[in-house]
Amino acid sequence: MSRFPTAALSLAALGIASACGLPRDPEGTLDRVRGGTMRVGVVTNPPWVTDSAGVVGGIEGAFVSDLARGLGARLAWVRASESELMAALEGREVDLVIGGFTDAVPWKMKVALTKPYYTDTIVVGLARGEAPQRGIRGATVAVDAHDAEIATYVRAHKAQPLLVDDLARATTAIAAPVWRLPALGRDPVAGITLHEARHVLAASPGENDWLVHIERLLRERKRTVPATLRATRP
Amino acid sequence: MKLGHRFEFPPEQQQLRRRARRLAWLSIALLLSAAAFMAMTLGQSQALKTAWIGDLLGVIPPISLLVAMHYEQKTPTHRFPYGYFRSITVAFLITATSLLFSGIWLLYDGALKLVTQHHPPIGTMELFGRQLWAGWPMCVTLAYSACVGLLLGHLKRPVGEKLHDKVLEADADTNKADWMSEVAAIVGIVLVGFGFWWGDGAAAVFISINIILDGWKNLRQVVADLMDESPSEMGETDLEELPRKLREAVERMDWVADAAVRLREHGHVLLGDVFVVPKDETNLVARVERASEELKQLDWRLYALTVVPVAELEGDGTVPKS
Repeated sequence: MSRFPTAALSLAALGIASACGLPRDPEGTLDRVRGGTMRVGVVTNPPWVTDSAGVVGGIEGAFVSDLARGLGARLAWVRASESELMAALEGREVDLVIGGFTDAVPWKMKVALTKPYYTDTIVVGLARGEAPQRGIRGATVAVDAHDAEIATYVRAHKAQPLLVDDLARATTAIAAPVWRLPALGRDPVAGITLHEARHVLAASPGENDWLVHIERLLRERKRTVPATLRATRP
Repeated sequence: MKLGHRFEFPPEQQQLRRRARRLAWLSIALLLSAAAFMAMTLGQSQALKTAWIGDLLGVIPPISLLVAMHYEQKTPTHRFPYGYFRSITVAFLITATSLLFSGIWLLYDGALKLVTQHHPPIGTMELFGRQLWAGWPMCVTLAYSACVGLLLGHLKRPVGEKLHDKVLEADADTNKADWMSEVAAIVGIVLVGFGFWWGDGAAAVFISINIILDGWKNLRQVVADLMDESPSEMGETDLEELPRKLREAVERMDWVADAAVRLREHGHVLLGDVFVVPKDETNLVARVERASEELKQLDWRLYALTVVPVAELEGDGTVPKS
């Protein structure tokens, strides 16, 4: 019996001794990318990923540029549909895919999602000075026509969504990500959270050194996300 | 002759039963703490998930033991004239089936991940303001859980043996399988750390096979109990010597010419029939009653013995002479 705790202890010692070098990538992604080429799949999804005149930007685009700079890697952008890029990522034909994904994606078991770097909270906004409501049950709530999924969250709260092209002109309460409210002159209704979307990047599966490297960059950069979002004009 | 009396455990056993009950509560508390601890590090590691479910399943035996211990000493009723001793068998059946089926499910899950070459992503975790590879905290929680299993198994086994409690014995086996599995899971995660993606799935498969073997062993034993198997040794398939000793004791009585005995286990206690061919029939009723009481002194587990006088016994009849 006493042999086993000893085995466990020596195992722990072994672990600590080699802790600096672990984890390693089964396919050596990080080593290949460093000083080499970083293949990044792109799904345009502003403000997270923008693509204009051949330049990939947005919040996640900036992350990737920083990542490549830090590793001295050349960027090879691959523009394709989400499902095509996920198949490519699973097969390790690309190293990373960005597209404003959340951790609720259906293919999350096939690839490696990073830890969420930002939680986007969808809330109800009222015009400044408007009397606060107790709830939104039965009310009409304006939703940006580009964010149709928000209508689903509104309906789930037993309110009636109204798709509009310009939220700024809406006369009713609105449902939007919390970072859009200041620009729209709205205040969030306390106590009502329609949805929380945890934003992640998708990396090639099982390349844990690579995943750890990306997550370290995200941890450094995530503080800048709210300010960047507030500065964006959709 | 009194029928339907309450069974009293001897003082030594009563003390052990209190101990067993305390151990059951301790198991529930420690296993839940280990599971809660592990849940915090639960990611996409199959081995960790399997070990976690193993920990959660580990609370079923102590819970069923506590429930069974509550019922088994109830006085027999009209509806349950043989008493409630078999509540312990029911507890045992629940334990064995839950182990077996969850083991099979986990084996399927783990094997599927190996076959589909699932590369488990294990990223980072923030701990006390520092960001480190999540594999390390996983190993720490697994090590804690392994210590829990090691301790519980160690404490339970001697109590289970003295009490002749198969549930406690099986529970100790489960704890042993658990801590061995957790060491395997640590090895699996370290392998993943070294870039061997299959380490995780292989550990998960190893753990699930352990759970299945455990469940199978227990299920076989409980089915044998339900089939009224003659009392068997703890954790083994060998039959006990008690029926033979009992027959010899009966045959030593001066008024007995020949005897046959059959016993069955009802949880912790034993019930059975003693068939005697008297050579002297004077005072037969009183002798039969006295024999029933005297024979019970042979072993504390003997709860009810029915002594039946018969004209003759055929050796190869329905009641084998033990």
